[in-house]
Amino acid sequence: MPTLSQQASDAGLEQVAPLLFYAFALLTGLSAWAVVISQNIVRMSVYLLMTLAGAAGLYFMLGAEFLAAIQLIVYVGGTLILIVFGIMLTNKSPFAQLRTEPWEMMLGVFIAVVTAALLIFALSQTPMKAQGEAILNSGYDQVRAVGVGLLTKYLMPFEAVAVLLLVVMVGAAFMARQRARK
Amino acid sequence: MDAQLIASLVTIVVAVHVMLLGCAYLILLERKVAAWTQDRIGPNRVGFSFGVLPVRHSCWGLGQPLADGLKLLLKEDYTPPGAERALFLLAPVMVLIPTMLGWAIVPWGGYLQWGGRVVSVTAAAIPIGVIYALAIGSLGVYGVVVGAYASNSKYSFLGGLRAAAQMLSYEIPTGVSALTIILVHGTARADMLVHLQANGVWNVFYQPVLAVVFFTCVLAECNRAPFDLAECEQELVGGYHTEYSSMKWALYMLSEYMHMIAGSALFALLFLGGWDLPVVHEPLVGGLGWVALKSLVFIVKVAMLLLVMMWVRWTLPRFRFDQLMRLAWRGMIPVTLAVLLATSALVCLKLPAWTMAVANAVVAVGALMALEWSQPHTPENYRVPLAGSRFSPVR
Repeated sequence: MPTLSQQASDAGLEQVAPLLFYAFALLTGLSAWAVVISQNIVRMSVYLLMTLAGAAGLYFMLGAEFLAAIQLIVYVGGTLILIVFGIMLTNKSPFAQLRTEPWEMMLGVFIAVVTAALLIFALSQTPMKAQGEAILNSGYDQVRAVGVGLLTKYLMPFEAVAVLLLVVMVGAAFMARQRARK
Repeated sequence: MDAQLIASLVTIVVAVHVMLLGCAYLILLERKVAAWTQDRIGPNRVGFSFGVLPVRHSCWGLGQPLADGLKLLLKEDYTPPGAERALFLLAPVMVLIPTMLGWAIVPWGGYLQWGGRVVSVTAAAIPIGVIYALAIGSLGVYGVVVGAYASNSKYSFLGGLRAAAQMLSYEIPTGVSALTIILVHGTARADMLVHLQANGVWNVFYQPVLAVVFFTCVLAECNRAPFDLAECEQELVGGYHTEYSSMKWALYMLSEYMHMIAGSALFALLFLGGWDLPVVHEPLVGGLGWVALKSLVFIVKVAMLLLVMMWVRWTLPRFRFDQLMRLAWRGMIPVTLAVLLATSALVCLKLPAWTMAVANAVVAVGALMALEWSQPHTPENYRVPLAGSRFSPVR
């Protein structure tokens, strides 16, 4: 029943939307900054969690709920693995401090500037508002669109990524096993 | 203000208050169920007099949750000297928030017609409903890991790692079961899933294997017995919350019960037809009376599931950790994947729905035969060569 669901999901977010946007944007930006300046690996992971969760909140506000949920499942779930592996598989104790070398910092700044320039260029070239409103008003089913896209137009990249992940998993299992045998 | 916004706010306020009070009384009910299982009487003394008020009757021990809460608030709130203070404070909150956010999509009473407007009696009727609940559910494990790490204690740390491994493993079969239901109905909207079941047959009859797997996974994700390895007293003292005291510890306990409610609500809407009452034909959109009836039916279903969870907890002994991981990775994940494949083939061929029950039965029989075939036929308990253990042949 498309008419009914549209009528019901037509929530009055206009009044609170800017406030929520600034809250999520602030959370994302500040915790991303904290990831960079923090020296403790577990704290870094917690800040990274907040960054990713804030980005997921921004996706929710943009009407991309499916992307937001996938962001939570894949990236935020992945961060947890990062915490656990950061503690378990590094030889240092979980309370160890990480030091950044000067050349690493230079490299990081360079990569950040290049990425930011690329993103700003791409954003300035895209008519975001018009396209986004057209998509939102067409009332299409996000999950169905993503599924159909992955199995028709983008089948090759999808399969390639799947094979890559499988190879990584087998490789990781092999390495872990070798380590356990020693 | 928008009508839907008002309806959402009212739903949120009512649901949160009912749930918080419900959690307190669930703890009392748990103690009572434990007592009944063990042939005891259970807490029956604390009434509402508290030694001050002129209430003579003990009220069947209904004052116990209030007294427990008061006691926890008045206890010393101790932070160990070596702890990471900020994370130690943050962790109980990180456990509590996801369990409360998970209720947002639960369609308590379908749609309400009020003066020509139709509003959904849901906190947020978003199109990806069930996927959202799974995504939020995957955040719950953070509080456990972060709290365990921040305590700076070996017992907490080992408990936290166990809990993380367990919750991550059991998320996979949960997700695959929910995915199969979404596949059958062609929608992830929580209200539509319930509506489609209300007009047909509940999913528990079409997908019994998935229902069993999903319920077991809910138990495992709540860290409840027989899956409460994370707080196994013999090995880990108190598990990940060993160092927590007072209200912070109470938040961990509270979030376990809230997680139970959220999991039961998800189970009810996926497999038990949500607000559907078998004989009565409810409309999707109804007046206040219909909404009240449907909410009541939903809450009764959730309450029954909670009672089953408690019954299971006080009946079954605890698993060993390797048994727990084997159950998830070698048992549930292959079975759910087999059911997913079979169901997608049936949906693709447009066969009638009862064939799904047949497919489920075939998968169940196959799994049982594989289990029988793979088990060693020795009278004694099969021991895993666990290096370092006193019983281990591997030294």
